[in-house]
Amino acid sequence: MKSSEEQSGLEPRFLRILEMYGPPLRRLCSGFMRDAAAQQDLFQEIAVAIWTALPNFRAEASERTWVYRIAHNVALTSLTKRRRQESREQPIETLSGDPVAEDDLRHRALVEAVQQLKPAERNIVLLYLEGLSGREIAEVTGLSVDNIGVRLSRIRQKLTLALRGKEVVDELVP
Amino acid sequence: MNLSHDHEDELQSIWRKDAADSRKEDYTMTLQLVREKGRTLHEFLRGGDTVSYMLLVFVPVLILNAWRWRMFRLGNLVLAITLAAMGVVTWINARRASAALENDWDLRAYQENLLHFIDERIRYLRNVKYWFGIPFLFGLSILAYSIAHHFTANAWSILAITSVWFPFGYCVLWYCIEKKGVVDLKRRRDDVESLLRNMDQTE
Repeated sequence: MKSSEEQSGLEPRFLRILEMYGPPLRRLCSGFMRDAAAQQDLFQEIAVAIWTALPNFRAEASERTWVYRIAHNVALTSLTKRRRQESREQPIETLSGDPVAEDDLRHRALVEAVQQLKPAERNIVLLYLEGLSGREIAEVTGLSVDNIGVRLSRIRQKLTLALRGKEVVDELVP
Repeated sequence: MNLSHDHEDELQSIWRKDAADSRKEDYTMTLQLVREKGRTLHEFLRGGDTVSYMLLVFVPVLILNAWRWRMFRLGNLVLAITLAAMGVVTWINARRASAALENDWDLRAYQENLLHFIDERIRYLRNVKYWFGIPFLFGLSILAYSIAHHFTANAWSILAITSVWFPFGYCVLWYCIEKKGVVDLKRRRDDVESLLRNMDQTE
């Protein structure tokens, strides 16, 4: 258990990390989990893991890759635990009746396409979508930069095809 | 391919479409939740081992009851020692596991360690049958013997009541470990293994 003095020093750091990485971590959760409750649970699990690991964080390492390493490790562990449960879940809900902007549709289609990827592919593409460089993705995943480059080009093709396919279907079915 | 990230590509801009217009979230609630979780008994006990710790509750009860009859006392003592040993071993294992699985390792290292950890956990669960199961059931059998002996003088009844505990209890323990615990861990192992295989594939 952390002492109160130690804890009071950690709290501002923890809040700053969440303020900085909260939105990308929320998006990461949406890429890993389908329903909103599971995404919220995952976000909290990641927050707890960051809080637990924070006292051991050394400033010489990149904070961004450190946060993403924790987030992806927690997400993968959580995903394997939920795998059987999730296979019974319905695909992501679409809000019927409400007029949805084209941007939202494309965003939703991308989220769905990411959720369909294999976990290892999802890890790489989620980091890429958040703007991490090849070297940073290599640091988070432990794969080589070359390996990431090859995989990423294939995954991007898949996602682009999925988005185009979705657009064609939307045009055919008004 | 945009790996240098001088500019956002189309997929990235679609993915982060809400980044600009999203409301600023207040994370003090998350901090509160994290603080609470740190204080809870669950965090102290580390989830999956709760049953082992709950069994520890019986230790003082068993010791308090150890005054009755001589055999009853022996049975209680064996059970109390076995349960206490189980609690200590579980606690040590949980500490070792949390030290062995640091969340801030890279994904590959983390998954490789997880695989190693699952293998150790399977071995540990299988060993539990012997070092915990046998003395525990032995203690239960002594208890059953002392109770039966107290209420009946018939040697055959005593033998029947005493001998039924061991094979029955062992079967239940075997089922719980092999058909539930180990099967679940093996499924998780397959998931981790397939993820690692998938990470290694470039084609």
